[in-house]
Amino acid sequence: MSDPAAPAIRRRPRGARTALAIVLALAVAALALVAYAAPRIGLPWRGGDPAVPEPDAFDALVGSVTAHGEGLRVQSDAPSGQALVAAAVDVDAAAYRFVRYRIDGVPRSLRVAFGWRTAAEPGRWRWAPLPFPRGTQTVDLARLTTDWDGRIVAIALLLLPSELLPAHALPPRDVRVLDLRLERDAYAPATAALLDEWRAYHPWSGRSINTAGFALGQHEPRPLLPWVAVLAALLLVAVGLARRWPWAGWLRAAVLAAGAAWMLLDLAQLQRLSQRALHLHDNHRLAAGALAIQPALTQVLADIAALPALRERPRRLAVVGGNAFLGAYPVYALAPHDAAAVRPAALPEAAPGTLVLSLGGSLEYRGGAIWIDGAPLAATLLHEQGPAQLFELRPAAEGDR
Amino acid sequence: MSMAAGVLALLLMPLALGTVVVVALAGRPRGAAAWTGALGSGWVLGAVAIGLSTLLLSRPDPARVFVATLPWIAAIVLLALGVAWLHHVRAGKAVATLGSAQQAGEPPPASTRATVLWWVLFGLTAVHLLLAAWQAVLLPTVPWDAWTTWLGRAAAWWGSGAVAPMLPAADWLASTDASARATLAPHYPETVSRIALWAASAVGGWHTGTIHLLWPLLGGALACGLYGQLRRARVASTLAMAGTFACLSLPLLNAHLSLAGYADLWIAAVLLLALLHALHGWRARSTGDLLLAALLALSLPLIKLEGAVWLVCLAAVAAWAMLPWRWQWALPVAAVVLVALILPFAALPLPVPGLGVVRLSWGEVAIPAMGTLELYWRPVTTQVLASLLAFGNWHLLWYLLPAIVALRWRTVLARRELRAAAAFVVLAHGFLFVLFFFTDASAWAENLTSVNRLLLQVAPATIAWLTLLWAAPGDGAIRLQLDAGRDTA
Repeated sequence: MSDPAAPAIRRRPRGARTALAIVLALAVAALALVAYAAPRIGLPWRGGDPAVPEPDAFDALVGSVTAHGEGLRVQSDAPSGQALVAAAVDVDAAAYRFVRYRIDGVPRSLRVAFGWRTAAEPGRWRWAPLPFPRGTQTVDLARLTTDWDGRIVAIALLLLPSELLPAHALPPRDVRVLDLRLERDAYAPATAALLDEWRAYHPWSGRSINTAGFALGQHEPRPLLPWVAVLAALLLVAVGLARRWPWAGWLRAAVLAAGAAWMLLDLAQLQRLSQRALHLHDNHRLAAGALAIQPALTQVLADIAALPALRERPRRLAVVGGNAFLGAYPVYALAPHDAAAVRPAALPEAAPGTLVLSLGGSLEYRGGAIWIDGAPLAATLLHEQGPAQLFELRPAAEGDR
Repeated sequence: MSMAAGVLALLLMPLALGTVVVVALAGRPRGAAAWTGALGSGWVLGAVAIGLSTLLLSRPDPARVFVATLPWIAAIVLLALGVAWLHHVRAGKAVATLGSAQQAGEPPPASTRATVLWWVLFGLTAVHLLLAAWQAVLLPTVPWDAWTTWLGRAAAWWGSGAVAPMLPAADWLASTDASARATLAPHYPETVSRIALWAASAVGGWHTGTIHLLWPLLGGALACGLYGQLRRARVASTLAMAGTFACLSLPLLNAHLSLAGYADLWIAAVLLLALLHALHGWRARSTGDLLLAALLALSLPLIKLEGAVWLVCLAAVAAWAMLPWRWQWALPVAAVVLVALILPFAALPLPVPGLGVVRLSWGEVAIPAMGTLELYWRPVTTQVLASLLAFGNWHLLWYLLPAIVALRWRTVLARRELRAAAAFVVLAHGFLFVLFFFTDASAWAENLTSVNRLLLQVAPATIAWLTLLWAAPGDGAIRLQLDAGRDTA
């Protein structure tokens, strides 16, 4: 006759074994996370004293800065949409790898960039965009940029309009910088930086249509997928060994683990997509619908499209750009005008009266002519604005060509 | 027409046109799931048909394209209704594609746990579509090819006042035709641009956000079509929804829904539905589904150039699937041997609709529309594997594919339609493998410009096949018995 207590006794060790296995798997996954965040051996967990500029060390180069509790209050209504505060420091970039900051009051219409100057080039500011600050953020500067190098003599924060948003659509900026410090290389800030990397807002980019915005460059966020796959595999192996599954149990659990991992990855994606949608919603409202790729360029093109030369009668407009984007995008932005991207060498084939839009200094103009491969093409400069020059081709006079 | 009415037209007119055709050919659906599938297939088919119907108009005024296509749409709808009525009269009762009553081979009713999971997956899928639609409406036209080609061409037509042929820039510069417009890729098919032009005409102007809505609508139609067709294939509701969620949750697909303007998702949707209708046609001996599959497949080269390749793959698989079992094995082996014997000595001509006569010889392939590509190994393995397995483009799809195939390979061999679908998946991925590892297209793999987009075109079809594979009864392999409400293993 079997002992009724026997099944309970057998279940308890298995339950305890499973719980222990899960704990061990999570511990190994945590170690894997730390290794992924900082694949460097011999670092301390915490890196010692950070470099913390005093609040009164900050000056406003654009806008104004005042003390605010233990931090700074940065305000600006500059037309450019920018605010810039900077402080002198004296640190070695190799010793301080991370920047940790907390900035409150930053609306979705603004981006924040971190800037610095080096002893080697004290007159030149270098910039790298930071994730949108929500609470406290840690950023790995060595991953963010290749220029965090040498002796650092000044650091700065720059507020500028969000992507797609024209500067004129910004309300006055009033932002509180509650913490800004440089931290030494160690496992704790590295792990915090990785977790913040995954949480941060990453807007759509020109690459998103090809890679959903992901890449493996130094400056790119590290992918979440490898760690999630490792976590799922560890839990699967640990629980499977603890519960001594038969072959069938392993397969079923593998499917469940894959499904759970897929869900986890998708929840992370939904968080990203929601952030993007909210940012777009706010910026769309501020811009009264006038969001654009490269808003400054789009405004220049809109001004050109409104010129009498283009409004009075249909004119053919040949666009010559200093790069592929400047050659191709204006054709779409100038619709419904009859525009096309052409190579400079093709311009001599154009009829007199054709308009030529040069962007990015792609054409040499002197002496009343556009010079192409050493030969002049008679043209009149009608308008110049920012990177754009608008010409009208004239009939070739005697000796012009 | 008001903006609101125009937006409704974007949803309802392709739906009405395409669904009537689907019902006429495949029979009246029975049950909500079958209707979901019909509506999904209908919207995609209807949108493509509307785009193509503008070809019947002679250089129309873009502002009047919507009105001008109405008679053609009405004629097709009336014809389809007539065919549907005849089908009903001759068949007696409408062909039940998925009855409300249990039929032989129907999966058992879902358990509570499975029902909850279904609603969770449905909710997540809906959230994906809503977020995509929200962003698509708010964003300007962001991706490169959208404003240079697919939407750029439609915008140029809209601005020029006539749907004129597009010219290369050099020809445009020399042209004296005031209505001529230039585009970077005049040889690209025009269907997607024409659908966008029709949409602009429907809403009364070039409103970017509204025109972008076509892409989330396409995503919704893809989801409905995939779910409904999986249910027609007797896949349990929760597993069908899992497959649909897996497809709609792919990050790269979400990028294409939100950043509207590319043609790859149109190819993916048409290809998926063509394959699923073909599988159902073989399984249920439904001539109507085979006709629908043919219609959809024939439209592929009219959407993107590589659609011609997918058409050839589908046609090859269709021909292969009709062979007896022994010949299905013998023919590919014989083909490989023949090609290996001939290629070192002579070129093999292969006519491909939309691309011309492709000539395959040892070490190179000549494609009239694209030039001659030299064939040799390119070292892009790291970039491709990173893109598939490490980046966040595909979640765990490419991890699951080999695992499910390894678990269910006997089922693939045992069932004709799964064999046919497997053949298509192998052909399609094989083509992409040769393209990126043996031709100059490896540059697109190295800089990550096209490798994922071309995979996106076959990803929904791949997911559909994996779902069917997992759902097929079988060979004693492990299954998740969610629908039985108990665990078995």
